Amino acid sequence: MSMKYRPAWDPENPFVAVSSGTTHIFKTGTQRSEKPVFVNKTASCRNACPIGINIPLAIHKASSGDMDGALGVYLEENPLPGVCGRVCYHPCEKECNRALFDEPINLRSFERFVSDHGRVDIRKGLPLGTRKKSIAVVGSGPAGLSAAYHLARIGYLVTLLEAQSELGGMLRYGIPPYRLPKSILDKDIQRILSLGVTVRTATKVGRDPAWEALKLYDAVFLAVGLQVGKNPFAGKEPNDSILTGTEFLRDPQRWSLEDENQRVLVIGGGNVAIDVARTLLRLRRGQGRNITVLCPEQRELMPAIPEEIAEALEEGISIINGWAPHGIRPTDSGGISLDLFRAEVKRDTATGNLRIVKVGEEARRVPAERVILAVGQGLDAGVLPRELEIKRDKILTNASKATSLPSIFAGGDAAGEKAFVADAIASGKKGALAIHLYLEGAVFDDELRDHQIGQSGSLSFQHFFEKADQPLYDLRNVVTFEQINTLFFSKKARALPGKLAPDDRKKAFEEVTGGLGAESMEMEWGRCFRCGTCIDCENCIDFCPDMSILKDMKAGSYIFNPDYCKGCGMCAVACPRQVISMKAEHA
Amino acid sequence: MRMFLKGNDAAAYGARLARPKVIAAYPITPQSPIYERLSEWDGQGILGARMMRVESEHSAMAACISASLTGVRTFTATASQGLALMHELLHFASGMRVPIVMVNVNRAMAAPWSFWSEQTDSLSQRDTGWLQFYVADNQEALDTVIQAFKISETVLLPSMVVLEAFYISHFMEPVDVPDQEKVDAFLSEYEPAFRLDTKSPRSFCQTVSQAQYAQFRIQRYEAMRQALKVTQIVDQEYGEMFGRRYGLIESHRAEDAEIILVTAGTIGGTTRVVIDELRAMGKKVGMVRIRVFRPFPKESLVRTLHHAKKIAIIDRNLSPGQEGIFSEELKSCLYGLVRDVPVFSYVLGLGGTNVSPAHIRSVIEMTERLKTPPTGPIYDIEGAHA
Repeated sequence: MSMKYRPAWDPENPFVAVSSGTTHIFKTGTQRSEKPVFVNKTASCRNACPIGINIPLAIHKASSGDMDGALGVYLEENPLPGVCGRVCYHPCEKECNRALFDEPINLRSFERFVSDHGRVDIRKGLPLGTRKKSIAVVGSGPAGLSAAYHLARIGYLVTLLEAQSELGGMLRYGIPPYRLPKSILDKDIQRILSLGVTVRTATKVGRDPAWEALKLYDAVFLAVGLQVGKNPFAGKEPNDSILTGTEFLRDPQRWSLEDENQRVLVIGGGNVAIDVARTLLRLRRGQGRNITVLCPEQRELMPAIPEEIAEALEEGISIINGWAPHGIRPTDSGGISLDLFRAEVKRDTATGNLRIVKVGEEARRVPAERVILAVGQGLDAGVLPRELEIKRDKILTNASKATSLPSIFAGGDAAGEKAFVADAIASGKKGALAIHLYLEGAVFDDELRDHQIGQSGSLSFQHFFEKADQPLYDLRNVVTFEQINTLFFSKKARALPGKLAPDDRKKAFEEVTGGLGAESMEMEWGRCFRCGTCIDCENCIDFCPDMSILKDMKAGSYIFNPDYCKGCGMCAVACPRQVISMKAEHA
Repeated sequence: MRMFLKGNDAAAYGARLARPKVIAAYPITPQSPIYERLSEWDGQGILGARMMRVESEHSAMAACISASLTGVRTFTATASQGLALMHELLHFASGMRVPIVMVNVNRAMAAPWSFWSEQTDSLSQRDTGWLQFYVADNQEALDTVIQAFKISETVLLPSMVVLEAFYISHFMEPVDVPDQEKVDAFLSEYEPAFRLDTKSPRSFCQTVSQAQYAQFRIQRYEAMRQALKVTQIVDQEYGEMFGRRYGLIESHRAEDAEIILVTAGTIGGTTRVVIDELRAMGKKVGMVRIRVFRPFPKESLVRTLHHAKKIAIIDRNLSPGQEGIFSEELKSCLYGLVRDVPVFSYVLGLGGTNVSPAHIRSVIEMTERLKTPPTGPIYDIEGAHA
């Protein structure tokens, strides 16, 4: 009876608030004043890398189990990952955003790991040999190899000319095998040659063949390096006790320095000096008591890689800092004696160059049987074309790497680039692109701007080749630590590779530093923020209050639904790696 | 079955006999024995409801609302501070039109702390859209819980059955506990008018326009008005089946009374005895006990009171800045009658102090003596509030 008083339920005319349709009628998108933009940006490590390797993308691929894909990412930019994974001065690690969180990722070990474990057929998909123009690359050091590699990838017919009997330049004849095993160098070089590069070793261009012969080529890239060790005592040598570091390293056995009783002074504070001392130590089966490095710089200002200095000291090499030689005289026993003054190295505020400055009146005399000079290298100008403009051991080039001679370009040490392997590789890349644009009649600066990474001068060949991917990248935009949402990460210590103990390693030329094992490597790449690189974590989808982020399967990217995205920016905050940024709706 | 029960137990029996499916509650003195008794039955496997142990009264009410929206009968109980903590959700419950039945054991509100009887806790919830029943004894507590389910499920508004602390909650009285079959026959299984349904997903309780809001408020008001009639019908149905009925108000010898004393709750039982004594002495006095406070039974009160020469009303509550709340409500419905009846407002029993027959006799004597009511309530009855 009472129930007849109950109100009837009519969803169209209800007595409680209830939806009669879906919330699709609420086009919250009309509230939007900003919109999310999904675009990959440049990680700080990539910005710091002269070669511009997309390191976080490689880490993403490796951590997804695609080691070949990871190596592929390296090979898009760098033909020498095996080499760089061992000897690079890794500026990437210095700039790694993770350094501001706990410690930088061990990126050099990662490159080595990828190079050791990945396999890629680099010829696949490339237009090899399709351009009927031929290019000569003179010199097969890192700059020459890099130029040859990238030019071949674009489709040119490349001939690599090398004065020595084997390829590699300073990689082979300068860097000792305990830092870079020859087998690793050979593997990287073989990969480059598989692109169909023609090789002519033991070919001293300028003597045989003459420069005139290279006119058959459509363009020439000079990467002859700095082959001549500098000798401030040239012409004043009292006897044959003096040689240069480059000479020594080219063939260490040749100089009969195995006798540990011979006192050897190595002059210089750079990598060559350290390499000389450590090579000599190994020739002497670890007996280092008569090997001394002497340089004008204080220890912390030495230009050599700090890790190399530390290893040399561990191995028992003495380093004397703050002294410079100014005189040399023969001794009765057939040796020599060096007159030293107290010195320090200062930066000239006007020119920015480093200068050796005498400090006080203190003097010192050091006797030795041999002096090995590692105080810089110069151009072997005698073999270069006479008309080529050269100034202070540097082939003059413009921004497009062009020399004063038509269709001749130059790069690497010979063109005054920074003397590190990575910088030489970068120079070769730039040279390759410059030559291509020259042959195409395009403007180098415009194209460079299109493919330039971050604010540094490095450029991306991946970007150059993959036209379809270009909208997914904002190469110029470098992700800062402040843009990383660190709430998604926890602190973890950096993994360090093992090393041979000093007593074990100094007796032979075995590689000093090992690689990281698979387990530590996985821990290590797990730490990487993947700055600016979308790894499909889909935090944006999870956090979007309007469910308006969608995956565009065709483009492989994410898009937002303009009907419902109200521009709250939650996705941009939830993106741990700054792939998403908010832009004004009508900008 | 006739049993000797405390008021809390009688209420618990009423709840169990109504066969709710979900009970979500949080213990608080003096309501805890209800919760304990239900838990005991739950432990014995004879409760038939899911007991939800929640972390607060706010959550208890939230759970009841959600459970009720899924289409099941839902019960809870609380008191005083617990009821105050629920306050926000009480609005939600009536706004969502869920027929929850709740027992509130009247207890004085802090500060200072007190555990004794006073009506301020439930009267403070006057405008939340809940039906409110003030019972006078343990039997009425049990019967009203069962009735309240039927009333609430008809008009789709929640009900609060109010028991006074200790005077009912902890006092033992003989109570007739009805057979389950008879209660089942009286109160059929709950059939929700609408429910949350995963097969037809809808958003409930969303933001509405101003005009929609106004409509929902008017509909809720009309449902409350309807509840007056429904309460009477259900009470009649209950009387036919169980032999007990209570009405919206209880009227005792008021028909020819010159002075009618109005009150609510347990004071009504004491007053009834005093009226009989005074009648025996030849005094024309009567009593009206307000049982249903929301909806307020205006018509019944006017019909029963209009002939009186004087009306006295005793409140076990005191609204600061005004007077007893029942008094205010009563006066508002007497306004505009052809003949003005003076109303004498008394406030007794605050903080659970006893209201004895002597106090009630004093109230009647004072009402006889005074010509016109003083401004403000009278609380200086000798021996009261002691």
